[in-house]
Amino acid sequence: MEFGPTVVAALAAYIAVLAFLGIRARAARASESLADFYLAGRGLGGVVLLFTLYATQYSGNTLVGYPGEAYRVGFPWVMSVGFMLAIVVVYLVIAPRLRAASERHRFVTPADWLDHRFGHPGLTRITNLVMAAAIANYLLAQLMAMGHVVAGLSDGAIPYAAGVLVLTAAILGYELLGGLRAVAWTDCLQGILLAIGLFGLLAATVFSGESVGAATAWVLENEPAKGFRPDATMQATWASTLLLIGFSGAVYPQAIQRIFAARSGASLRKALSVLAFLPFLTTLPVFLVGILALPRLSGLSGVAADQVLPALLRGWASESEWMFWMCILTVVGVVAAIMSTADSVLLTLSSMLAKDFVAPVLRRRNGAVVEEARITRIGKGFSLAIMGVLVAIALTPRISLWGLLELKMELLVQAAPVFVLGLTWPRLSAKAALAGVICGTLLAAGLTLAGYGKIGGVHAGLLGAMLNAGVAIAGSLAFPRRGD
Amino acid sequence: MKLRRDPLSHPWLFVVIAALYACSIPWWFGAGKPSIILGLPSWAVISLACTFAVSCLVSFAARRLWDDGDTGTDG
Repeated sequence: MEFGPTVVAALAAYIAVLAFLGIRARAARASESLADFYLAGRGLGGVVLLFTLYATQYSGNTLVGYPGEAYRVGFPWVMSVGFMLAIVVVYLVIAPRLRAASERHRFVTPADWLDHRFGHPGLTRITNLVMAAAIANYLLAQLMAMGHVVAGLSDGAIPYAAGVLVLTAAILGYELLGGLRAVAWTDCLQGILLAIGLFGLLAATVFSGESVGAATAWVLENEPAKGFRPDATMQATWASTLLLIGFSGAVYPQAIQRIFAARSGASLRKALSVLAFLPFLTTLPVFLVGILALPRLSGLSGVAADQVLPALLRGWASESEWMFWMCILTVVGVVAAIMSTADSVLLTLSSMLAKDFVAPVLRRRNGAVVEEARITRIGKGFSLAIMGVLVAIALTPRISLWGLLELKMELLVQAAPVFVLGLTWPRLSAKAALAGVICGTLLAAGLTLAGYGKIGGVHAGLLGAMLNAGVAIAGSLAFPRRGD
Repeated sequence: MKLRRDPLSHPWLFVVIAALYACSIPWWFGAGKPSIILGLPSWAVISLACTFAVSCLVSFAARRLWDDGDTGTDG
């Protein structure tokens, strides 16, 4: 059996199941309200919540990019287990208070909490804009990853453009039908496939006869820089990455919406208590795969980091029938991981644009309450428009926007001080928070676009966030709000 | 729903998590060739052990140190 055509058949079967779930989710809707479409009627139970948080957090980059990073960086990439866990640590800080406030005030988007806490339209708009720009970039990266991964793993049976177009159409189909309910249900399937894919990856690793101990010994002997204690700059990068990913991952707007969508506090607590262990079941095996690739691919010169997983899978698939099917499962798991992140980002982005940017304009113009069903329809229109624009960019080779793609976590982390300080420090004032966001964003974006992504091993985004928090705290202390 | 208690009301939790994370970065390890434990360099194993301890603490805090009085269905 040939690898490429079997991948195509497996992906076709997977898309058919996604379409079925989208139709079922459509049938389960209770109304056309924003909360029903964008928050699944605030009815996500513990298991679905766990899977949707898992599938949203762990993207295709986790499965494709991280083995490549482990191959490139070596053992210091064990930091990836810690930084994925750091997101859950920050949830412990913000989720209880966000959840309690959303129960009382029925928030739909993160901007609802910003309005409630600060009552400052400027701060809400700028913070929302920063988050929207960050996740739009993130979505574009997922679309491009879909095309590259499908083309690479199907041995070219599905060209890049066809991969982008077909998978984008599939996402749009089930999302427009069922909103967050469809996204969360498909996230369950995608989470299960991701787990099976990882199991396949581990099984493939074990049955390939390679041992981690032998790979480690090989690394220490032949590439000691990747196995000895990391140097001071790498240690600084390690600490910087823990903070950058921890704070930016926790304020992903799609993650915040899932806190609002939880059926109960108990659901959220149980989901987070399990989520805390998932880096060991996801990031750790992926890290080990990258380490195993070091001796195996050492003879190949010029192996790009993101080609490590495809190269390993193709090699393993040819070894036995069992390995062949494990590799097919892994490929579907990888595609599922990318799609589950892309659909969540798209849904959140369209809700932010429709509810936070367009609805207030309509209200001002019409001077009346705008029906929620109308905002939901506008949001669906935005989903189509966003995907249209991003697919056009993804299909345009050598477009000069690639520098902007770097600006994801660097931008997103600038929203973290507003949420973390806003939830934990009553004296934080809106004007000081706004000044912080502007200063931090300018510093982070300026440094990144000027080519200084890291200074002394510390990410430009984290430097921006530190300036951001410093300005917000100093401003709030120097110019306290009336009544403080 | 009123938040009765949340992990932030237990500062020790975050002090211990920060200390474990600090230990997970191997600045304290010697510069020489590491021994191999469980198939990995010893510093990487200790780093993973510290991170696992953080996982246990976070899971404990989510279940036991967060009380919003909501014991509703979790589906």
